[in-house]
Amino acid sequence: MATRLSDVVLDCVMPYIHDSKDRDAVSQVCRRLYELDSLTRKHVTIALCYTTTPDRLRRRFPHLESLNLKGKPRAAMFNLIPEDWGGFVTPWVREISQYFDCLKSLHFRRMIVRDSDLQVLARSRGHILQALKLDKCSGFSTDGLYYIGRYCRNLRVLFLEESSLVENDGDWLHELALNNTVLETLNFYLTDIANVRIQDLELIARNCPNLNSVKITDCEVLDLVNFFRYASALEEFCGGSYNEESEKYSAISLPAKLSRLGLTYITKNEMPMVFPYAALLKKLDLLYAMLDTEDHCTLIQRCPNLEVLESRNVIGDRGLEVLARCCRRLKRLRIERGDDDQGMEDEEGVVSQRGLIALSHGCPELEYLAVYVSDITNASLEHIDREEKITDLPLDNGVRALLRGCDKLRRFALYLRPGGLTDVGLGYIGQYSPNVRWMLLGYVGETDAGLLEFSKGCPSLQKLEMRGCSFFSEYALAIAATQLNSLRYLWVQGYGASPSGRDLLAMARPYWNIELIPSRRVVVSNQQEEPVVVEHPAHILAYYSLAGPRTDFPDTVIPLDPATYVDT
Amino acid sequence: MAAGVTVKSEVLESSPPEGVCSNTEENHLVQTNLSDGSPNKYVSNKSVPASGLNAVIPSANQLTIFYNGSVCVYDGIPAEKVHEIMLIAAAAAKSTEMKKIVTQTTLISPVPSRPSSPHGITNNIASSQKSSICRLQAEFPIARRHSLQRFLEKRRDRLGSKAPYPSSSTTKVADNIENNFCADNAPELVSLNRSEEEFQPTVSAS
Repeated sequence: MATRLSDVVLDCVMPYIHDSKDRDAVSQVCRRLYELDSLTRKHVTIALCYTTTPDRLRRRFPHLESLNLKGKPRAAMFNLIPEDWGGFVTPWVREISQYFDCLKSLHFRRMIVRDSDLQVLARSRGHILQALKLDKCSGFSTDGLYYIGRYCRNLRVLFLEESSLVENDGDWLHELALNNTVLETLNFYLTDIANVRIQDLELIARNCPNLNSVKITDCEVLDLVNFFRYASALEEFCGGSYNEESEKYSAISLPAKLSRLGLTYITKNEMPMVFPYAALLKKLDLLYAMLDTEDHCTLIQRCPNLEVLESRNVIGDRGLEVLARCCRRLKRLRIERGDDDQGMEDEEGVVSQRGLIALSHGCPELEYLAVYVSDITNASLEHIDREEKITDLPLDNGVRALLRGCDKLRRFALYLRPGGLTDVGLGYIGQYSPNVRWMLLGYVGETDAGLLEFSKGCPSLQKLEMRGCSFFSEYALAIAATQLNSLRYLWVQGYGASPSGRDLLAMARPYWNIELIPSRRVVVSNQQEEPVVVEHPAHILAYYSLAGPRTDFPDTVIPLDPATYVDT
Repeated sequence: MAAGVTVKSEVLESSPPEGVCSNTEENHLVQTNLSDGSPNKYVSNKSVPASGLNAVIPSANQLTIFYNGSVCVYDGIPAEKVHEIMLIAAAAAKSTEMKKIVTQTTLISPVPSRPSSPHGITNNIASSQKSSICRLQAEFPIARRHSLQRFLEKRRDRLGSKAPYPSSSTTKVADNIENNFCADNAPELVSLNRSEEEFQPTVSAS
């Protein structure tokens, strides 16, 4: 009787537990709860597709409604990982099409998708699929998207942002416009899609009353007047371009509920069209805007409710000070590395500890911070003096102040130039990051001692990415990986690589895969569009996997097998 | 032809910009001859047509460019801009040679940057920055998001294609010349006819 009563109670309680960490904890209590978790789990995120297998996922959670799957290391976003490294969706799509009857939402990130995968998915799951995200994926074309537009009539989210896809025609969008009446999010932002018929966008806006987020490529903004009028529920818009005379854009009326805005290719001359909506903005994407430091300051001080900002280092220390003074509710900030040439708008684009300290004081609710800290580029005597200061222990104290002031920080990225942070500063990062789970560090520290000091801290760190640390030995990296108790994923490029990689085996342990990507030479275009041969230093990738070593290695990847060295 | 290259730091700012351009011969290949610096020696080792880009500065504020058999004379160009133009020309020559080498599937190290000019602090600092960027690029691939990299390329194209305004200042005209050089040295080598068209608006704006 007591047993039956508790079973009934548990059956009622379980569906209300949603947090994945809570569910993980519950499922370890007893067999019954493990089984209950299996039957009622709706969402799973797999941070790296090689940590498990499609078959294992299906047996563990047969009734999933939502799956988030990641493939290539994050460094692939920066063209640092070979294109054929891996991360194929095909085995997962095959499993989904046969067994996952309840799946409504599918999110692939940095994976290789074929048109045939999209065809299989659309034909087998099209009637139930509500959200499809192909996030920074590659390998497919608009031919595959045609099937999605044709068969997925209940799609509410179609997300293709930053995917490298081949455009053959615009039929996929036309098909989507004809068949869909429930779309809420349409996103092909930062893709190579250029064949966009404005009438198809207008038709989607008219037919889909719940459309609230649209992120497109650089269509002429003046052509979107009707689209904006029809999309009355729009809350987010990114994209567009401004090729006509500046005066024409002041007549543009944006949707009244717009609170998230991305301004691609906008210049100082067209910027006033945003001013009437600036006070309502919660998110601003200026990564692809053509604005200088002064323009950034002008716009940011009109956005007191800003919670998310993305920009390049052209924002400068001055822009960050305006941000700290005017946008006290800021939660997320990303500052990328802009152009290195002088003469562009980025001429004044310098971010140093001055800006970081201002943020630490001014934005107490900050949750996410990724800041590119740049070199001095101006030629004046004052800046030369500044460069001297930067060279002499510039950011150690700034970083410490920042981390102390933002004690809720869970993700931290700090990417410098050589000499930007000493071993002391690296030790501070370890010491003052008690809650950080993901970290990216570029050109930090000086010797193995700094790395080992760092690894004594960071008790919550699960994923660590490091770059530009040729002064760290393989052995120190291996010891650090062992000392970081919560670590389950490590990516390093530009370490002190030995020919054999033998010293990395100090981190060998059960279920821990270690992969090497040896150094290679890549031909890229530089600022003057001339070909330059660039040496890509060696990579280490190490991660826990229930599935053991993967088998779909390309030639560019070498698995480090502990058994090979047993005899030594 | 080029007797020597002299960059003078002092420029009379009161002189209005003025351009004279005459076309005598058409040549599809862009080449550069500089009488100092290693790029010149590097280029001269290859077979270089007689007609090429030669920069001669006979007076303090005048720039003369020999380009594909045509002669262009500009007044009132700041010395800093002259230096930048010459850097771009050197890069163009290097680019031409580099393309041939890459086509042959022969990989070589990037050419080290030229030593800094002894003339003026500005030039030293500019060269120093160039050296810093070149060194960084030689040591390590720059980690910039793929989408951002493509944006920066597109932005460069958009800025280059904008026509100069009639009321633009001397600096603006110089900037336009610089941008036109960038456009001229696009991956496919442009003909003299096209480059002449690019220069024409600048002359008209004067």
